[in-house]
Amino acid sequence: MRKILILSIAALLLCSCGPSVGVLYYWGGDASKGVTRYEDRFYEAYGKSQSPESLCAMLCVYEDMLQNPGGERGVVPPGICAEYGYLLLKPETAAAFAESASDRERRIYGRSDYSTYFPEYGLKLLQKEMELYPESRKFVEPLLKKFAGK
Amino acid sequence: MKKYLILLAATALLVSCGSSSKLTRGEVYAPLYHEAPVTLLVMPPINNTANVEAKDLLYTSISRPLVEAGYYVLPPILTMDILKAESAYDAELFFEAPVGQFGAVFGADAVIFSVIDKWAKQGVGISAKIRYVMRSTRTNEVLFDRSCDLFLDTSVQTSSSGLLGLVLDVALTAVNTALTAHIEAARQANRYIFSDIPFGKFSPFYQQDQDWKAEPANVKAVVKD
Repeated sequence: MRKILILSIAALLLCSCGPSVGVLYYWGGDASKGVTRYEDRFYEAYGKSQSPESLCAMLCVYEDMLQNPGGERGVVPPGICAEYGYLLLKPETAAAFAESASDRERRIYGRSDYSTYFPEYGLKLLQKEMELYPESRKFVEPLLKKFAGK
Repeated sequence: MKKYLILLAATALLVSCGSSSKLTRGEVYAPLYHEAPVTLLVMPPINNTANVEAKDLLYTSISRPLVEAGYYVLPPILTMDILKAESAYDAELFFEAPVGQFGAVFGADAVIFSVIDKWAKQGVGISAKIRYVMRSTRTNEVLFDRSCDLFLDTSVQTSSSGLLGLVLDVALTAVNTALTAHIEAARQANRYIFSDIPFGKFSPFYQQDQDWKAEPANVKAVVKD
C-alpha cells in the first residue's frame, strides 16, 4: 500500500512537469544561458544599425553554425544555408567583406578571393539547403535559376 | 498511512492548481494538429505603437523559437527581400485577406502575423502587448491565435550580496536598459508566446503533445529569464 502511494505521488508529479524539451540546434554562443550569437548579430545586421561590419559578423555566425552543428538534431537549422548562401550571392557582400572584415573574420575563410569564392560557395549552400530540407525547394530553386542560370 | 494519504491529496491538489488551463493542446489547437503545417512564413509585424524599433525587434527574434519548436521557418532576410520585390511586405493588407499566394510562391503551409499594440519602457523592463495569429495557406483558417499582455523584466541581478550587490544590480540594470533591454525583451516575448505552440515536424514531440495542458489564449504575465 505504501509503495502504491509513493508511486502515485511520483506519477502525479511527473504528469504535472511534462517531458523536458531540449534544444534542437546550435545557434552560436551558449544557448543554455539564453544567448545566441545568431539573434545578436541578426538584429544588428537587419535593423537600423546595419553596416558592412554587422554583415561581416553575421556571415561569420552562419559559418560557425554550419561548421559546428549541434543540439538534439545535430544538423544546421532550417533556413540557415539558404539565407547564408543568398547573402554570399549578393554582389555587394564580397565587396563589403573585403573592405570591412576584421583579421579574425578573414581567417575564418582562410582566403582572399571573396568575389570569386563567395558566389560559388553561395550556390553550394542553396543546394545544401534543398538536400537537408526538401521543403525549401519551392523558393530555393528560383534563386538557383536566378543566380546560376540553372 | 494517514500521513501518506494526506500527502497524496496535497500533491494532487498542487498538480491541479499548477495547471493554468483545463484544456489540452489537442483541444485548443485542433485545426493546427489537423493541418500539421511544416513550413511557416513570418510576415513583418504590424506595429500599432509609436516605437518604430519594435517591428524589427520582434521580426529578428521570432524565427528561432519557431524553429526550435520543430518548424521549417522561411529564412527571414531572404523572405523579406522577396516580399519587397513582390510588393507584398505590408502585412496589414493580408491580415484578413486570403494567404494562398504565399503557399504558391514560397511553399509555405501557414503564415504568421503579429500585431504590436504596446511596446514601452516601464521601470526595469518593457511593457508589451502582442498578438500572434497563424493562418493556413490552404484553407485560410486560423490555426493559432494568442494575445499576451506582458511585462518583460530585463533587470540584472548579480550574485553579490549586501549594499555593494544592490548598487551593482542597479548600475547593471541601467546599462542593460540603455543598450540591450529591448532586444532581450523581444526575445523573451517571442519565447514566451510560442512556448505553447504545438511541436512541428522536426521535434521529437511532433504529434505527441496533444495531451499537454494548453496555456490560456489571452494572458497577462510577468516574464523574466
